[in-house]
Amino acid sequence: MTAGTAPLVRIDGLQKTFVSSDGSIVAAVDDVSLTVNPGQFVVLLGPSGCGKTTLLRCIAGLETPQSGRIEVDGQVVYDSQEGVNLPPYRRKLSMVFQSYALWPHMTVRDNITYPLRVQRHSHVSKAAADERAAELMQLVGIPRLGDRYPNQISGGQQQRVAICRALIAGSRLVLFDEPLSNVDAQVRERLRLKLLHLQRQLGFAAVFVTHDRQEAMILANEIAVLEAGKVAQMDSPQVVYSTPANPYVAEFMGPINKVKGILLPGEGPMRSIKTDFGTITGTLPLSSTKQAGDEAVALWRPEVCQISGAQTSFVNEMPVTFQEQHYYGSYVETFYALGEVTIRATASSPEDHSGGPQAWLCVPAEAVTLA
Amino acid sequence: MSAVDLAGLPPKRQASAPEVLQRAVALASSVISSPFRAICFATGAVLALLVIYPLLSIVANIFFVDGAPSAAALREFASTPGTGTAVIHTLIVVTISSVLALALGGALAWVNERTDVHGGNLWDNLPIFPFFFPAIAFSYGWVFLLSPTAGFANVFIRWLAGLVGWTITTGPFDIYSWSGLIFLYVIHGVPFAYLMLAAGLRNLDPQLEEQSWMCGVSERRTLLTVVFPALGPSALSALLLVVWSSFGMYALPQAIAGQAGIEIMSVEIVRLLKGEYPPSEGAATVMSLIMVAFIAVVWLMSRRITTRSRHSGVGGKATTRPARRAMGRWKWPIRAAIILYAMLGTLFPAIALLIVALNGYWTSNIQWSNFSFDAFSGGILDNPLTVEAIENSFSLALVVATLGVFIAAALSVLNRQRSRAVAILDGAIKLPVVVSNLVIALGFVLAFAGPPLNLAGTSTILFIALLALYVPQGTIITDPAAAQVNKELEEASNLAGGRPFRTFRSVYMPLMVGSMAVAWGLLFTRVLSDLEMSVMLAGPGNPTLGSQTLSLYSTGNFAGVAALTLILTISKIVIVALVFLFAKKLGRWSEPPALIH
Repeated sequence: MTAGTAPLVRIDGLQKTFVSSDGSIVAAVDDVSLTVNPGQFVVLLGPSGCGKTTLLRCIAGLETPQSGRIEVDGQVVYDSQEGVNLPPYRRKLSMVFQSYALWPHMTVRDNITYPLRVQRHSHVSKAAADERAAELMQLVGIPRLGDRYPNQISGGQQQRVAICRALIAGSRLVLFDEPLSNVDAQVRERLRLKLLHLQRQLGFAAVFVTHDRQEAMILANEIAVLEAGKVAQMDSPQVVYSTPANPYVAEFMGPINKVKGILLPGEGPMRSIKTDFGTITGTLPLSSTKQAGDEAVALWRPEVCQISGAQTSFVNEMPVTFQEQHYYGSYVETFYALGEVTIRATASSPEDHSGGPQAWLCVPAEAVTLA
Repeated sequence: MSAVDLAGLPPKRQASAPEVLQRAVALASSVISSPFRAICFATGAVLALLVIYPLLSIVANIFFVDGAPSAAALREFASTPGTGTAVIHTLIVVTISSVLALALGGALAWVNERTDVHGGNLWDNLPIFPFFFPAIAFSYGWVFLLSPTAGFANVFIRWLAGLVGWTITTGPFDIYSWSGLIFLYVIHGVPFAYLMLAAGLRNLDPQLEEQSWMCGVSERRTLLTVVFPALGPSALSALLLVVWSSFGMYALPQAIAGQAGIEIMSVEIVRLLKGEYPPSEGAATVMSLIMVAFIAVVWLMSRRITTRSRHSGVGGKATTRPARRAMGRWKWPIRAAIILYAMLGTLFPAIALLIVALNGYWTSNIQWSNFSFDAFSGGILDNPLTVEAIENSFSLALVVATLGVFIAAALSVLNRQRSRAVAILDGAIKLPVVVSNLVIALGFVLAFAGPPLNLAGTSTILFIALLALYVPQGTIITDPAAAQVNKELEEASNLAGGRPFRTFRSVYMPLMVGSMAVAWGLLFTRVLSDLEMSVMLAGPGNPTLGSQTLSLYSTGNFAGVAALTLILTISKIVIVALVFLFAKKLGRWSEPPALIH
């Protein structure tokens, strides 16, 4: 296998449990298997406590799992069967921490060149190390901060220093632990794009932990949504957003409409469920194990809702009652009642409900996921 | 994150044999993968052993003879005359002096924290100045001041009385008495009490008092119903500290108690072991066990009360500045009293020592014109044993402090690992902090002085004992310094390829250097002014400052005693001052501890 085609990170059956304060055992990482390809940007996404940071720290070697196997760049770094558990300093990967973790007693330049100075097999002269640091600082847009100390620069600048330090040794894998959560919104947006460009330019693979779904969608080639230590879905941002594997993923990725029903018999990926408001047709994911007669949920995003004043006899048409409307500038959010269910619809311009609250909601079948 | 972690969190299910083997391999490989951690752990284990083994030797000595259970030691204790008296006398002195020290320290704390008597940083630290005066210098200084016939203070008072035609031949004060001994114990104990109670008051939210005043309760009643109860936990820690240091105190009673006809346990332990032939090891060990038991009882009591109390959570953080009570015309008399107290603990005994040293001998008839530095040059330099004692003590202090501070720092870093093995190790290493020095010294005599090691009287046994005794005291300062270093700074270094030793050197040490300097100063001055270890472990051909001072005193070379203790005092003050200056500069990345003593 050449390094170009083989996965850069391969995780098999990883298990990490903690003993909580009341003595019960909590699985922070529960039988996780995933791969990261060279140059790929993978985001581990989930709410706090879902195990995403623990998974990242297991890859880094900062936590020791109970069982499973982790391979990085063709080297087994952890294997419970073989008794392999390489310490972090032998895993040849880099990490950017949430707190930036810059050493306060070293200048920015010394912080950045530290990996070159301490690694046993790198024989980089001080001049060459400083030059490499200067290039990177130029690249991330902090060219003149080399002699400053971390407490003399802003949070955004500190974050850039941390990124330079992670990149200087040329690791093929860089781990990010919520690196943008401590900077304010505007800086975050700029840094996010900067990071994306750097990653495309330098070609390293990234595993990035965040709880911010927007950040995840902008940065990722692939998003792994974690739920209670398990990977609930791992796919491209588009697929995770529009075809969520289950209501948990659907809700985590953004506002969603849900209508419950019973799965009707049928063939192929397009199936229907019977609801109190008529049948709803949508895509049943291939991975689904649901059988005809099982309870199922129809899921669709607010922006696919089409509203009209009169019935058009398209598929997935339901009578709704207008409730309220909010104006957000770039879009308008409207709430409707579908029986007991509240439906959220967004559109670029306001709907006209001057003729009365009754309206018809229509959802294209390809925009509905059955889960 | 290491194997210790694996060992620390065993799975609930039964592990099969291959799994156990795997775990063992994983544990071993991860220890070997980090030689630094392995060395730290091994050093810690050796230190723990150096403490536990002597303490076990004491217990074994009491209850076993040649491996068989025996009550011989207890019988020896019971049949040795004076042992019972020593327990009673010690209890009387410690109880009375601790209560008085607590009251005086509390009063000083209240005055400095809650009234306008308080001043700048220097003023607020005045009550702890006696800390910087070595106990042995303090003791002999007061002997020279208040000895009934030749004591300078007595001579001065008699001279004053003579002016008004009142003739007194001895006294009026006698340091060789119950009141004299208790007086010195109190002055020695006040700084401990002040330190704890002032901190307690500082952390006590003044709004609690203000709320009480707003409810119409008088200041005095507020003090009784709000402040005192809330200070309970601090007062108990203060009491524990005072009682602990008083029981273990040897310098004071050895200088005074004997001549006063008072038997003090610490003096008795040394006498039973060093002053008798053959040594009464049995009686000495039982005595030391009783001493430890008394300290343990106070500790248990204070723990019980503190954990039970509902107000132990009070304090926390002071959100507002306290309203300081105006003392009016009492302000300056109170200030004068505080200055007088600080001088009692420092300046007065120092003056007495200086007079004896410069005069060349101790006499009530001081010839001011004859003052010279002969005592320093002649009395010290002419005596090869004294020169050797100075050399020994300074080199021991240098080596123990320097080596000890690095070990302490490394152990503190190791201590950050959340693992049961490390926690147990840490507890064992810290045992000497709670057990009195004298007891540890006794344990060392029993464990290492005789066969098979036969280290009696060597500098090796002294060095090992001092290291085992003082490294834990160093970790008390370096532990919080290591804990202050954000864990991610260590992890970032590890991920950058920095091995544990490199991480210790490049990340931890620069960030802990201020605290390490303070710890170094503490260890250096403690070793320099050590008396307990010296008297038990230093051989006649291998003297230290402490043992040589005692020996000079017993031969009546008072000028030599004064000169030696002054050298000790000046060294201690210089070191403390240097460390203060440097620690602030070195510790700019982290807050060094505010105080050493």
